[in-house]
Amino acid sequence: MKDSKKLPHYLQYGTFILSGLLLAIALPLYAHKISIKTDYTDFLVYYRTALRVAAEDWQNIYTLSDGQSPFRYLPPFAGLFRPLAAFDAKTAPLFWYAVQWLAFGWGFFFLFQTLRKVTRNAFWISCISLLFILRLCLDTFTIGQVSSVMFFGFSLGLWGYLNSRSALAALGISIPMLFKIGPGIVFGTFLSRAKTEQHRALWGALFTVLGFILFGEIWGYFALGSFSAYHALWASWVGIVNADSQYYDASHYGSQSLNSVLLRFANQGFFSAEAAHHIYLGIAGVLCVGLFLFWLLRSPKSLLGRGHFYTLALFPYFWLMPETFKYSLTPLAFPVAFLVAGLLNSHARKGLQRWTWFALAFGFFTITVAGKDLVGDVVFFGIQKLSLPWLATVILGIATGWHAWSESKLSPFARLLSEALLYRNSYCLGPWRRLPDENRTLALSVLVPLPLANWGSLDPVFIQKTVRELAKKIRASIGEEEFELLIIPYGNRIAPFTHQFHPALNLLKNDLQIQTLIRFVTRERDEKVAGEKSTDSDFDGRGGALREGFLTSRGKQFLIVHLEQACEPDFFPKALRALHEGYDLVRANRRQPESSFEIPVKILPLVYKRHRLGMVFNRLVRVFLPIQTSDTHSGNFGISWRLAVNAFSTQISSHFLFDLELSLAAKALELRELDIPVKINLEAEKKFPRLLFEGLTVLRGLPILWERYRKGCYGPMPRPTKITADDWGLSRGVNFGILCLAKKGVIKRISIMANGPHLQEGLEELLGLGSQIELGLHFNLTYGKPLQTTPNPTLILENGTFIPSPFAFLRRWMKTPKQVRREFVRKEFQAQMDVLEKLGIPISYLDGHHHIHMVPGLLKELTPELKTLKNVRLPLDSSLLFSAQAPISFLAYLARPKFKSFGLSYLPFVYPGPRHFSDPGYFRAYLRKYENFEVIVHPAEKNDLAFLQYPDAYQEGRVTEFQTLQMLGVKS
Amino acid sequence: MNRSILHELRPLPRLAQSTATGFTLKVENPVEVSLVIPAKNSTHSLETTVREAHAYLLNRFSNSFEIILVPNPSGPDDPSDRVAESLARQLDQVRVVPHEKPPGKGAALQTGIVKSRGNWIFFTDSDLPYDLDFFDQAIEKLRGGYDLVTGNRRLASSHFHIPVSLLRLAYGRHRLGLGFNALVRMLFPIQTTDTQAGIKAFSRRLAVETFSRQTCPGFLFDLELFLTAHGQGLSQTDLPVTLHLNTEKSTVRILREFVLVAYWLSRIWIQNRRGYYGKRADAVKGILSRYRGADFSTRFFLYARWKLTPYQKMSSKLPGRGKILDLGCGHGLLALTAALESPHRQVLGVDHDPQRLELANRAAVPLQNLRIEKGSLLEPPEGALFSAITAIDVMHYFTPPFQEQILRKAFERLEKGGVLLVREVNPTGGWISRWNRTYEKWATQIGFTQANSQGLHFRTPEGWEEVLKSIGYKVRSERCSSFLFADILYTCERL
Repeated sequence: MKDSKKLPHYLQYGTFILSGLLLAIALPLYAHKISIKTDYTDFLVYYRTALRVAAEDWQNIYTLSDGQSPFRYLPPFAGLFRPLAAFDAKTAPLFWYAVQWLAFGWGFFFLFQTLRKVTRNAFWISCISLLFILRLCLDTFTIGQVSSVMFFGFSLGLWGYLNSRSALAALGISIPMLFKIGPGIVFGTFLSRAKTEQHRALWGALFTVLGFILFGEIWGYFALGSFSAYHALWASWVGIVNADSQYYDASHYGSQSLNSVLLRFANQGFFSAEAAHHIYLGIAGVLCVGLFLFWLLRSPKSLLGRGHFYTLALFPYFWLMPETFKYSLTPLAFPVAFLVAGLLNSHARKGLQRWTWFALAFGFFTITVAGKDLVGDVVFFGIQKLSLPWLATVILGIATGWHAWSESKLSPFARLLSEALLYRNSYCLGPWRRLPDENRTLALSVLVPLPLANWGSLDPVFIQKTVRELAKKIRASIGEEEFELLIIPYGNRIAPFTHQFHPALNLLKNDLQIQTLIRFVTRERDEKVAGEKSTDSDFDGRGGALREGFLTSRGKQFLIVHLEQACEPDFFPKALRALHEGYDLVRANRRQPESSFEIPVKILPLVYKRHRLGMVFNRLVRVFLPIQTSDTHSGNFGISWRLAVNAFSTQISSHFLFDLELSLAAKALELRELDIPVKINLEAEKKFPRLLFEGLTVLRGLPILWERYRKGCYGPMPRPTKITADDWGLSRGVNFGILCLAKKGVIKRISIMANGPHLQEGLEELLGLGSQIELGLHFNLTYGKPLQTTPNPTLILENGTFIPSPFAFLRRWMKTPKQVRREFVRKEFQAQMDVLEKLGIPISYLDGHHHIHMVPGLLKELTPELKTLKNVRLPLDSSLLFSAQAPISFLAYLARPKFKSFGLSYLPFVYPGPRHFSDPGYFRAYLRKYENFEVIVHPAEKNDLAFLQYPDAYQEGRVTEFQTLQMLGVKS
Repeated sequence: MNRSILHELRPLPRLAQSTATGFTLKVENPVEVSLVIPAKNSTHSLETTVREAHAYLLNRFSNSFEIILVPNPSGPDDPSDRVAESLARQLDQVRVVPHEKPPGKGAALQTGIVKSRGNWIFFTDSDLPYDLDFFDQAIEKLRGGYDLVTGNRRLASSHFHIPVSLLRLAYGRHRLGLGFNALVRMLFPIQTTDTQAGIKAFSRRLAVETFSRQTCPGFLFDLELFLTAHGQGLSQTDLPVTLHLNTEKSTVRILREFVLVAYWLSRIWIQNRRGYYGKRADAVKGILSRYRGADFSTRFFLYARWKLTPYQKMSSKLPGRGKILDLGCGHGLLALTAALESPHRQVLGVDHDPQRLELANRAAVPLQNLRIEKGSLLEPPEGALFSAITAIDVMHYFTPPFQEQILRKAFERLEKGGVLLVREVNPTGGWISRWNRTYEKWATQIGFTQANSQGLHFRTPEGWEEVLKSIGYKVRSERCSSFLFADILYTCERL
C-alpha cells in the first residue's frame, strides 16, 4: 500500500509545530499541574489501594465506604498497584505520570511501526492521531486513569494483527480486556483471519489470562498467607461489582456511551428507563451480530483494510460499554490514524473522502478542542450532555466501517455461501450455446468429469489407472464398435492443474487410441463485477461439465463416470447391457444390500456418516420428489440418448443437484429405470467446506426442483403449432435465425417488416419453404424510414425517420388531426403491402412492430384495406398485466370488442419474456400449456443489431431466444 | 446367568512343557509352518478357507507345513467336525484335532497349538475375512527377528471391503474396538491399536511361552499373547490387513459379553501385575546405577534423559533377535535397553566421543550381547547385515547432504525387511518445538551433547518422510517424547 498521496505541506508543518509545542510546553506544564493537584483523581483510588495492600488491610480493598469510587479492578491488580505504596503522596502521582507516559510512548511507537507498513506518511499520521487525542491524554494524566495502559494493549494488538503475530496481538488485546471486559470484542476481528491465526490468538489470549490469574494466585498466597484469604478477596470483588452496578448513574455528563445517551432521553421523558435498557440491549445485540457477520463475510484486500477491520472493533467498546468516559476515548487514535491513511489512499472514493473529512473535523471540534479550559464550563458541559463526543465516535465509526468495506472483498466463506444459495450462480444454466451433433456416429460416449478445484483434485496417476481400466472393460464388452471417452475438467483451478494432467491424458490417448476431449475453461469469480452477466454459467460444477460433454459427444448412448466415487468397472458393461435391453436410466446404487465399499480404514467414520446423511437425504428426496430410488447421487450412470437429450435440455443445476434432475426427467417422461448394486472404491472423503457447500445447494435447490417438477419443466417435448417470429428484415442475424428455426419446423408463422433494411436477405429460401409457413405483415410505424413517398411530417421525426418509441408515437398520434393521421396510416400501409407484393410474399395476417396496430383508432382507419386481411394479432396476455408490457395488454383489452365489430379474427396470444427463455425447461412447460396459442418470439442467430443504421433496443436477448427455440428442434 | 457363562469364567489349567504332550520348543518331525484354524458353525466357509489356505501354503512351503483344524461344534446341528474330517481325508497336510471343552476360541486354539509342530504358527478365523497376503509379510517379519506379528485393522493403510448392509455394524465395531483398545493400552503395557484381529503369526517360542501360561478360554486370550511377548522380552509388530466383511455377529448378548470382558480384563490385569507373564520392566531396572562412576552432572543429565525419553517404547519397535546397530549411541541408554530386554539381540553401539564410550562400555560390562565401539555414522561397521539400525536424536548435528548420506548407508547395511528408527525434533510443532530447538542449542553449547561445529539442521516431518521415502524406506511416523518435547519417531522399513 505504498501508492498513497503525500500529506499536504500545511498539515505536515502544522502537526510538526503542534507536536513540538506539546512536547516542549504541555508535558512539563501538566507535570506541574499534577504535582499541585490535591483533590480527587482516579489515581487516588489506586494509591489508596496500594497503601491498604502495604498495610495488609485486606478487608478494605473493596469497600463501599469509599463512596462513588471504590477500587473495581480484579484482585491481582491490587498486587500490581502495590509498588505505588513505596512512594509518598507527593511523588507517587509523578511516578504514575511517568508510567503513563511510558505506556503511551510505547503505544505510539507500535502505532508508528504499524503505519510504516501501510503508508509513506507514518510519522505525520502518528502525530495527527496524537494531536487528535491530545486533550484526552492530558486529561487522562490529570485524572490518573489506567487508559494509557489499555492504550498500549490496543496498540500492541494492532501491531500484532497487522504483522500476523496473532499470539502477540492476543496478548495485547487481553490487557484492556482484563481491566474492562468490553474490549474483549476486539477478538472478533480474528474471524476474518486464517484458522491458524485464530488458533494462535486463542492460545495467546488463554496464555495471558491464565498467566494473569496464576500471578494473582501466587501473589495472593504469599501476600495474604493462604489461598482461602485471597479467594475471599475475589468474593468481595464480586460483591463490589454487584453493588456498584446498582447505584451508578450512567446518564451523568461524563459518560459517553449508547446507554447514557438513551438514559438522557429517558430522563427527558421520551421513554422509561426500562425501555431505554431494552432498546440498548437490542441495539447492542444487532450491532455485535452485524459486526461479527461483517468480519466473517468480508476479508480485507490490503494491509490498510486489515487495519480498518481492527480499528472498527474498537467502536463497540466505545458505544456499548454501559458507561464509557470521555477520557476512555484515547484509543480513538487508532481509527483516526487509519482514517487519515485511508484519505491519502489514492483509490478512496470521493463520497468516502468527504465523509472522512467531516468525521475527522467533527471529532476534532467536539472531542479535542472542547476542553474545559478552552471553551468554558457552560459550553463544555453542554457539549457533554448533548452526547456530542459520543455522536462523534458514531460518525468516525461509520467512516471506519465504510473504509473497511471498500478495502475488503467477499471472504471465501461468503463466496461459498453466495455460490450455494444464489439462484443466478447455481441454478440457471440457460439454453445450450450450441446443438449436439444429431448425426450419432459412435456407439457410446463415456463422460468423465474431472474435478480440478480448491476443494480437491485427484491424483493424475489414479485417473490414468482408473480410466484405462474402465476403457478396457468397455472395449471388451462392446467389441468392435467405436466409442469415445470425454474427459471434461471443471472447477476453479483448471489452469493451475492443467500441466499436471496433460501428460497423463496424452499418455492415455496414445495408449487407448480413443478420442479424448479436453476442454479447459478458466473461471475467475473474484474479478466478476456485480451485475455483469456471468460468462461461465454453462460450465460450473459437475452438472455443467456433463452438459458440456454431452454437447460435444457423438455417441448413441452414454456412460457417466464419477472419478471421486469410482465404482468397480464391472458396473459399466452391466449398465450397457441394461441400456440395450431398453432401460433409459441405469444407476449405480450404493445402498442396495448387495453393494459394498472398499475403503481404507481411516475414512471409515466419514464414509459411514456420509452414508447415513445420504440415506436421510434420499428419504427427503423420496418424500418431496416422485423419485423412488434409494441412491440418486452415486454419480455413475448409464443413460440413453432419449433421456440424455431431455435431461440436458431441461437441466438448470450446474452442480450437485443435476443427478436429481436426471432422475426427475426419467420419471416425468416415464422412462424405464434400473438400479444396479455396485462396489465402490474410495480413497479419500470429501472435505468439509465442500460438504457444507453441497448441503446448502441442496437446501436451496430442492424446493426449486420441486417447483419445476410440479410445473412440468421435465415433461416431454411440446409440439407447438403457432410460434410466431417477429422482425424479419431487421438484420441478417434475425433473418437467418428465423430461417434456421423455420426449417427445423419450430416456427410456423413469420411477421415481415416491409421497411426492414435486410428484408431480402434469405427471403428466397424462406419462400422456398412454401405453405408450411404462414407469412404476415409486421406493420411498422416506429423503426427506420417510412416507405410512402411524401409522409406528413407531424408523425415522423425531423430527420425523416419514424418516431422510435411507441409511446411517443401514441402521444403524437393523439394530437394529430384525424384527417392527417388517416392519410398517413393508409398511405404507409399501402406502401408496405406494395413492397411485399412486389417481392411475391403472400401475406395472410397482420400485426404491428411494437404492437403499433393497437394504437387506439389506428385499425379503424385501415378498415377498407383490411377487407382482404382478416387475421390480426390481439396481444392480450393477462400475465403481462404486471410487467412493463402492461399498457399493451390494456390497449388489447380495450380493442377486443372493436376487433369483433370489425369482423377481425385473432388467435389466443402469449408473449414469453426473458425468464422463460433463460430456462429451457420452464419454456417447455410453458409451451405445453399454450400449445395452440400464438407465441411470439424474436430470435436472432447472432447479435448484429448494434451495427444497424437505426439500432434496436432488444439485442442480446434475441440470441438467448434463438438458442432456447433451437433446442425444441432436437429430435430425441 | 446361565451355566455356560460359568464355564467361560473358569481359567484354563497351566500346562507343563513336556515331551509327553509334545508341547516343547523342540518337536519331532518339525515343519516350517503350522496354520491353526478353530472351526465352529462354519461349513461352507470352512471348506473354501481350508482349500484356499492349502493352496497358498503349498505354493510357499511345498510340503513343510500343516493345517490343524480344531472343530469345536456348538451342537449336533453343527457339522464342522464332519467337514473337517472329510477335508483331512482329501488333503495330505490337513490334520484334525478335535476340541470338546471348555468352550471358547482361546481354549480351542490352545488344543490345536499344543499339537502343532511348526517353527512358526499362523492362526486365522475359519471364515477367512482377511487376505492371506498378510502371511507373506508376516514371514518376512518373523525371519527378521520378531516373535509376534499381528494384523492391525486400524492402521491407516488397512482396507475394508464392506457390504453396504454391514456398514453400520462395521462402523460401530470400529468405534467400539478403538475404545476397547484405548482401555487395553491404558491398563497393559501394550502399544498396538488392535489386539483382537483374527489373523496372527508367531514363533514357536512365543507359542510355547504363551499357551503354557494361558488362562483365558474365551476371546481375550489375545491379550495374554501380547502380554507374554512383552513380559518375556519377545518383540511384536503389526501389519495392515485387508478385511472382507461378509457377516457380522449381529446379536451380541450385551450383558454376557460385558461380564466376560470385565471379568477377564481384571483377571488378566491382576495376573500381569503379579508378573505371571514375566516382567520386562525388571530387565531394565537399575539401568542408571550402571553409570555409578560418572560425575554428578552427567548422572543428572542421564537421569533426566531416562525419565523424559521413552526408550522402552523405541526398543519395542526393534526386532527381538538379530543384529542391531545404534548409531550415535552416546552414553548407550537405548543400546543398553535393547540389549537388556532381549538376550537374543546382538547390539552394537557406535559413537565418536571417547569419554562417553568409556562410560557406556563400563555400563555394559556383564552383558554379552552389547558392544560399544568408536566409529562414525558415515561409515557404519562392515560385516553381516543388520536387522535394525537406530539413529536417535543425532541427525540434526549433520548438514542435509550428510543426513541423506547416513540414511543411504544405513539402507545398504540393513537386511531386507530391516528397521531403521530415526527420532528427530519436529521444528513445526509450535512453541514446544521452539523450546526444543533452543534446548538443543543450549545443550550443545554447554556441552551436554557434543557435536561437530556444523550447527544444527532440522527438517519438518514432511521433509524427513520425503527423504526417507526417496531412499526406499517405508515410513511410519508418530510422536515419541514426553510432553515437554516434540520429537517424532520415524519407523522405517527397508523394502
